[in-house]
Amino acid sequence: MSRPEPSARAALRQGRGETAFAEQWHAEVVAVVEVLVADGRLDPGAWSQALGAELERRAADGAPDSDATYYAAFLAVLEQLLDGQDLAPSAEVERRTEEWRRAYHATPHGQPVRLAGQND
Amino acid sequence: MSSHDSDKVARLHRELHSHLPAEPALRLKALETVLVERGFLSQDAVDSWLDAYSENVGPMNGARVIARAWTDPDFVARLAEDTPAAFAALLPHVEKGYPIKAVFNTPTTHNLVVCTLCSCYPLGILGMSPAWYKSTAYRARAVRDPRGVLAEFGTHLPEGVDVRVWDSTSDRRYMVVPERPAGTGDWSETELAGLVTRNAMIGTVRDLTPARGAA
Repeated sequence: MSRPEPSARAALRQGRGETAFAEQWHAEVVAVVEVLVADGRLDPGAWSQALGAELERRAADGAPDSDATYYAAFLAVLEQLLDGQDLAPSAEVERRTEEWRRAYHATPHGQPVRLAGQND
Repeated sequence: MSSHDSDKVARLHRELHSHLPAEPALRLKALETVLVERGFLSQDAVDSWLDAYSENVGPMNGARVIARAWTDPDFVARLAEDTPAAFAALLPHVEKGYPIKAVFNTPTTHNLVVCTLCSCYPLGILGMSPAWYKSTAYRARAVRDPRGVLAEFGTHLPEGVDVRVWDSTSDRRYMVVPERPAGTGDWSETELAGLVTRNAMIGTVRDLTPARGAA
């Protein structure tokens, strides 16, 4: 579950010195959606409709028109759809989030962070 | 313990332990964990996508295809007829079958691409879209006031040039093929590819500048 740091993936760049993704998790969440769509787990039309609706809702609520708002919406929609399809129930995601948080707190800097019982 | 001491302890604690990711990154990690454990996602597939994206994906792919189209009439016909096949022929290492269609600028037509619904873009071929492409402002205004939007990008269309706005969807995404700049008759394909910018492929830029070494 550990990945190279952003600097190791120099190629997550747009070319001509421009960074394609401001943060590593932005690239990762896009990758997750692309893989789920390619595997037929997510319907591209449903995904697009749900993302569009969420972006519209956030804009109507006065959220800044920014990359941060966009990727927050992107992740929230992914969580909602996966919960709705029972692929990743939100209670399970909450539990795993806390486990990862504890794992980070318990791991000395420089060591790979793993969940209890995870070998890699 | 004084507040100075507790600050010091907190700092040491942070330095001694792995840096906790930002909350959304942590949630994504948890989401991936759940999906992988339940057999709905392969971690290798996600890593492979990121690796492929790192090495093979970006606006340079579109630039190469456009440069070939500028120099090979048969390729232009293929690109117009079946854009994914043209990409696959020139760039076999890039993801195949992506729903993309090339639209061609002419002296009297300018093409502009938007996704009014969300942010559909051929990112598996051309890399991630720019932040402004995903913005509410661009998505809302590109159809309503394309000339105004273009002007904000410094693109002022002359009289007699019509604008066609293409609304990308999950089923069909677009790439603008700009016109080949005058004065590049003796340029190599590589040099020509160096002229093509991401914004030109979206259509917010119309005229490419034939200055050697611009890439």
